Amino acid sequence: MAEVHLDVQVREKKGTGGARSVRRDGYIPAVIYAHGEEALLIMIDKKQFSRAVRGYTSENVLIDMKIEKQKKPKKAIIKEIQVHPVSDEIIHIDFSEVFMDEKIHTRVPVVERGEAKGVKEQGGVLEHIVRDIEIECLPAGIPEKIEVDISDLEVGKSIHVSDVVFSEGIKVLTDLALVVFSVAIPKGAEEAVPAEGEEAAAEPEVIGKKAKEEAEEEQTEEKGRKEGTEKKK
Amino acid sequence: MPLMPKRVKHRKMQKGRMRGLSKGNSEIHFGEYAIQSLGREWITNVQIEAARVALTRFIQRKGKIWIRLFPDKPMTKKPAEVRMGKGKGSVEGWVCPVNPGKILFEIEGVTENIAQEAMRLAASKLPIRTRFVSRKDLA
Repeated sequence: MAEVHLDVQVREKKGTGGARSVRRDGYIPAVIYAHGEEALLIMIDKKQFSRAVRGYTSENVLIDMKIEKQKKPKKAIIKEIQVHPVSDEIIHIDFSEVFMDEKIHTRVPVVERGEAKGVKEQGGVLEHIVRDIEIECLPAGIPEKIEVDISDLEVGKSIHVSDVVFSEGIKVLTDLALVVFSVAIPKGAEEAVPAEGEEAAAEPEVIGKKAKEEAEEEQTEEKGRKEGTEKKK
Repeated sequence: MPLMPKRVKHRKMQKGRMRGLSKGNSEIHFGEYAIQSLGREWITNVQIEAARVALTRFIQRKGKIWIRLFPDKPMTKKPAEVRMGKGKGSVEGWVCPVNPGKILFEIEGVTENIAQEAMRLAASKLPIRTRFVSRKDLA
């Protein structure tokens, strides 16, 4: 597992306004969670963070944190990164403190190695269904990614979680029956041509309208009957 | 047949407002590449269908496509040269309100260049500005 170093500062500003002012100063607001302890509010220099994690494709990076005014450094993994949907700027980071002798649960991305036989020779489409697998292991043993050799994968065949080879000391928590990769037969580019009269009938059914109409009809019938009896009288 | 709901609770709907960014649906969930909206507009079912056709025609028999938006909002219109009042107009189409940040189409099983060109063709059928996005690095 890759290890990076970060210098962080404890932050006192909290809440929406506090986090905004931290961002204005060029820092990323963050928090470190640890079991048995209170969450620690921190802030990280934006440039330093992006330089440190550049090139990593998963969040499984062991971070060695040197916290300002604290003697003991902390080791943590990234739990979640909140990103602005349009500007792609990092809004907030959740870290989870880890102890090197304590097993943790984490998700590791699965990537393919090679080109599937079914895609290369048979014209199939590779489907990547499960993109990350949940595992339990010691922090030092977390792989950055899990590579799966798919070169022998033919059309109609699939690789399940149970077929993936993990290194020793890793316990898989994801359902072993789930499909990770499969090669499907291409559907083809045929386009649905609407049948005649189909467009004319293209109006959705209104829920409860039928029942309402029936109730209204009954009411009008009853009214008619009452009026009829009154007239007879 | 154009996209529209099978059943609805009410035939007509109020216009509503479209403030802020997309509420969720701003991450790639299924494919490898996608287009993300940068504008704010109602996208009609006809426009979605045109974009889908452009995508499937370009990638032909390869790859897989996901349409991440659905037109479930009825759009009404009054006939031409009609005085105001006398009730709401009749349903003329179905739209999907799109705010900035929403993922519109996703694609998998093709190279990045093909995905980019396919998405460019699809985006040209839509009334909003979009950008090409892919699953990427941490920072």
